[in-house]
Amino acid sequence: MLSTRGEAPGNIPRMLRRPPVDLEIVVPAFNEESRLPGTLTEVVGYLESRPWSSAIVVVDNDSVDGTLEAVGRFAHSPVKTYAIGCSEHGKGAAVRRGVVTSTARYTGFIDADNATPIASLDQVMALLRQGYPAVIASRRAVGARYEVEQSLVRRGGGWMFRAAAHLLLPDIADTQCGFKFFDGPLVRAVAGNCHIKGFAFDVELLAQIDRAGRRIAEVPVVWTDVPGSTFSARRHGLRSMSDLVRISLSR
Amino acid sequence: MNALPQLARADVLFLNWRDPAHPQAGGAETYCFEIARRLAAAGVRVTLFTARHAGAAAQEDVCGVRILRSGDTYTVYAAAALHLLTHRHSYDAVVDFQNGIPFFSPLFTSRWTAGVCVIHHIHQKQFDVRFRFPLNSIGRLLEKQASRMVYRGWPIVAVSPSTREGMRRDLCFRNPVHIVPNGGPGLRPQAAPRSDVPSLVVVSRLVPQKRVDWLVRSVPRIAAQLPELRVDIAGDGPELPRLRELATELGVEGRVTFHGHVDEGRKRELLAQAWLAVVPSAAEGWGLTVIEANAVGTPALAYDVPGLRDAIHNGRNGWLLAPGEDLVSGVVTALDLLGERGARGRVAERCRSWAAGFSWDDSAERLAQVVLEECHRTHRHRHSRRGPSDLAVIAQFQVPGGAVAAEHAVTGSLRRSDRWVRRDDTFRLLLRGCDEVRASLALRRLGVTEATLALASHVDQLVPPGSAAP
Repeated sequence: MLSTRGEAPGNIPRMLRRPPVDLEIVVPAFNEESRLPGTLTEVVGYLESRPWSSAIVVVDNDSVDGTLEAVGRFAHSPVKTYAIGCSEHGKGAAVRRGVVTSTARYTGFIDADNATPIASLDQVMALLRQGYPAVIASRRAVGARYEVEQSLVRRGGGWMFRAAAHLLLPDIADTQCGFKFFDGPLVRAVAGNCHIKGFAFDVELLAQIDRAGRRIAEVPVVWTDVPGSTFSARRHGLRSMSDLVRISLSR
Repeated sequence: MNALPQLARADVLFLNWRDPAHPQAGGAETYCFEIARRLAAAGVRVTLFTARHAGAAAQEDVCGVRILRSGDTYTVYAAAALHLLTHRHSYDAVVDFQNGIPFFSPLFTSRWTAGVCVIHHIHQKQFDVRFRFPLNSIGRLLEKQASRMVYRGWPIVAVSPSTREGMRRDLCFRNPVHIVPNGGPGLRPQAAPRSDVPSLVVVSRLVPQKRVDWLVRSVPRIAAQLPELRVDIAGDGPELPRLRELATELGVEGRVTFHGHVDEGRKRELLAQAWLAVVPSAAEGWGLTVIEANAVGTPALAYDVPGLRDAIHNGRNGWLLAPGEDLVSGVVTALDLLGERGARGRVAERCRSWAAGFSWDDSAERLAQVVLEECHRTHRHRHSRRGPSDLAVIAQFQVPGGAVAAEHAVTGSLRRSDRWVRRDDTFRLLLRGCDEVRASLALRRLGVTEATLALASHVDQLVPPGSAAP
């Protein structure tokens, strides 16, 4: 599925752009009314204690539950928390919407279930400030470990996906961890050329950055498998694999 | 903006398994008939097809609505199918009210007939309570998989955001969904003075899933803290004898009054004199009692369950208890707060302003918008390729000087189901089924380049764009 026109940052009207900050964190959310409040509390608590100016953007990916109302309770939190919508379904579409409407110096995204500890941002920000254009968390880099294991089926599917992704991005150990941060202007330029709406969008984003000759740094993290994921191996597994084929063909 | 007059002289068929005269008629029948008769008053030729209960005429004209009755609770579906097949050219639109077992009208209507399906609430879990295997599995299959296939492409009307959530999650429907809430009783003068002593009221059909026994069981413990407590229970049903027994057993028959079935006026009186309405129900499509209580300034207390969580805003027009929370402490806390006269007045004010946002006229208009939009779509033989979205956007912008011209532009280029309101030169639009980027494209077509856009909350989608949350 190709994204609709108007997704390039240049086509986003000025009124939909948020004021610039040092760091903006995009949280894609689909029916996350129960898991989101905990994540936001933790992220707000962390960001508040850091010297950078920051903001959180929850992208409501066509939820039917009280996701928006859950974000609304953070309206007066010390860290500015926005809720925007994305009517196109898919984590890729939601993250892209959050990225292209941003004007922040550094932008990145995390998962709504907070599977990666937010304190890993310390290391990420240090690397971004050293000039790395992309810093991603890795559950497979040296020093990383799983705190709670994933199920067998999911691991099997994951292995196949990783094998295929490895052909595209040989230097990256883990392309799928939902904790990636980028240099703002770079990722906004790249996101305009991205088309994958589903869960394989990270690979496309990284492949584009890699193709532009920019370096991607990996940071080992401790990662917890949180039950309640919206990823379904049956519904999204095949689509993710075919998306990989599309990404490699688009080279 | 006004869809009702545009729909005049159209022939519309309403399918509902019961009509309001049926002895077991409930909120769903009120919804159907209140809207049907407003459509009829606007000049729409409305036919209501329902089951024929004992003693009812086969054909009748009530408030301009032609009521056709045929079949009993179970054979009404076959009778309706036959009626649709034999009247394929008679109707411009069919409004199919689903009550667990669907009419499957898309199978029997023609291509040129517009169709809208109305769903009050999802019955998937109730089939197990009412029926045994294999009937319960068949019921579930009919409501979910079969309906999903048969009603594909039809716009669906849900009465609340909770019902919409159930449709997406439990029934996995992908149809475009419109929210058309229940109306309210409208603002009326205070029917009775507020009681001097702490008092609770329950207005409910007395069936197990309404859980009125939970409240009766809590009465002794609440009374231990508030010795003057009074409880009024209005409504009839199979549980009534058991509840009376329970009250006697617990020794609270002096505090708890069972009124049985009451008429509208008496109901309003009971609601008006109570401090707090309690709705212990396990799930609702929408909390109609909450709005009725709020209309006379009485807040409501309920569990945070589907339907009721849309009608009550915790701490504003009532209180929501987490499922599993103790009813006693919830009621006592609420009554303590209401004990102060000033607080009671402030809460009553908020309740009235929230209830004022719901009117049957508005509901009829909104349903007419959906029907009209679908009629036009059917006539153009067009199917939208864009996936339906449940997001909606509130856009606010100003057109200094050119407000009247802008009003023409807004009327002409928005979809019928989009709603708007103008105050001087400020416009407030509710654009349905889109996100901010698509909304900005729509605004650009109107010539608006500067606007504040925000996602619409459930409240924004329920009440007209001008009114406020409680």
